[in-house]
Amino acid sequence: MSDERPARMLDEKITERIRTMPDATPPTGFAVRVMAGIEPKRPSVWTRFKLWSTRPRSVTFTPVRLVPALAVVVLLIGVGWFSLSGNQPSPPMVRFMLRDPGMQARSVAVIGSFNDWKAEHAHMRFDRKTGVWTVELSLPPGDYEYMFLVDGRTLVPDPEAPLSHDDGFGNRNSILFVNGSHEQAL
Amino acid sequence: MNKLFRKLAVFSFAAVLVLDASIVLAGPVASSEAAAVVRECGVSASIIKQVDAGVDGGTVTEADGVALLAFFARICRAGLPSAPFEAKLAEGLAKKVPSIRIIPVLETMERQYALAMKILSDGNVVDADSVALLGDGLAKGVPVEVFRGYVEQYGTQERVMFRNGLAMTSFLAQAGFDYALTGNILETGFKADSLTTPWRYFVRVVLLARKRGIDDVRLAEAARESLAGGGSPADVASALGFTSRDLSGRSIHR
Repeated sequence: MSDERPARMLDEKITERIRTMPDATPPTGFAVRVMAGIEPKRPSVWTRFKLWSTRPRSVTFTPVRLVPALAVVVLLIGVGWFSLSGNQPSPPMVRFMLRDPGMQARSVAVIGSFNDWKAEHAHMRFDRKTGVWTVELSLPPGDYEYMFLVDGRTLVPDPEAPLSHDDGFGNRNSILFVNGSHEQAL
Repeated sequence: MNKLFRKLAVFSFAAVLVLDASIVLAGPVASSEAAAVVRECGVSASIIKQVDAGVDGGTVTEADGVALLAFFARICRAGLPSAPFEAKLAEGLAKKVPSIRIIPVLETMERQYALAMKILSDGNVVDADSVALLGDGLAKGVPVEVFRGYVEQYGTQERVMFRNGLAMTSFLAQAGFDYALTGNILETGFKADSLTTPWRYFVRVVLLARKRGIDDVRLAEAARESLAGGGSPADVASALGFTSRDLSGRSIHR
């Protein structure tokens, strides 16, 4: 408590002295020299990015301007998509058929080396008019082996396939050759 | 910024490791010594996954599962392509064939692919595509002499055409096409530098032509004429009188 008092008195004296000092005009160019002496601090890339990305902005538009802008965006997306997908020839479609005039099967799928012998994505549809199970698959050029899976358990080779071979497990795999997008009906 | 990218990269790598470990270390066979060898050799995790699925599904015993992985480690060390063996394993498992019957089939394939590798090595023409083509041909019953003769005669040809000719030879032999006729077609194709990729599947023209009663000798003549003029198998079909619909249609009807 006794230490604080002289200190406070000293503060008051200093304050009074400053208050009564005469006004002085700074020399010409003083402020400019001071500012020039201060090293500018550049924020980091991340700080600038954060500031830029979090700064709120206002966008104004009118429907008259918005419609043509949207049309240009849609056109650009369309052209981009077409140039990516349009130039590449799509793999040829191959139709698999199994005749079943009496509709003895309840379900048929084609399994083969093109789908890892899994029936999930190769279930066939039955056409009552023709009595034929069919499915169309898009296959890249190559040679494939396949069989029909009837009722989820019976393996049946394609009776119309011109080539087949022993699969080593006691069945005969039918063989299919697919060329490029030309000559597909061969 | 750099710190952020580093953090993201480390996080992604850790996520991939965790995912990979969950795939590979999921089943009973995955932790075996054979699985470790298979992984070390660079065989895909899908084989281990397939074997484990077989063990879980009851078509593969645990002992056979380990034997299967040991088999894949062996073919990996021998430098044989694993894809055809993986495909055969997938086929066997999908057809619900017991593992005791899958293993001998894979071992037969192993001998055929090793023979394919030897034939190609003797001709200094070893590459993965050729090994797969030749091994597949042998597995489908093409006589070994056919391939020996082909490699001896055409081993010095340009690589892409060599492989096209090899595929054509294999497929034609599978269809029972006389090798002497195949040889005449190949000779013309190599001489005219026209044995392009579509000729790999010339067998399709052969099969369709046979259905129409066209004999193989006439087919071979038409093929030679087409190759001499730089043509394609479609030109052969046209020359033999197939309809334009046959040539331009987009569906194969089976």
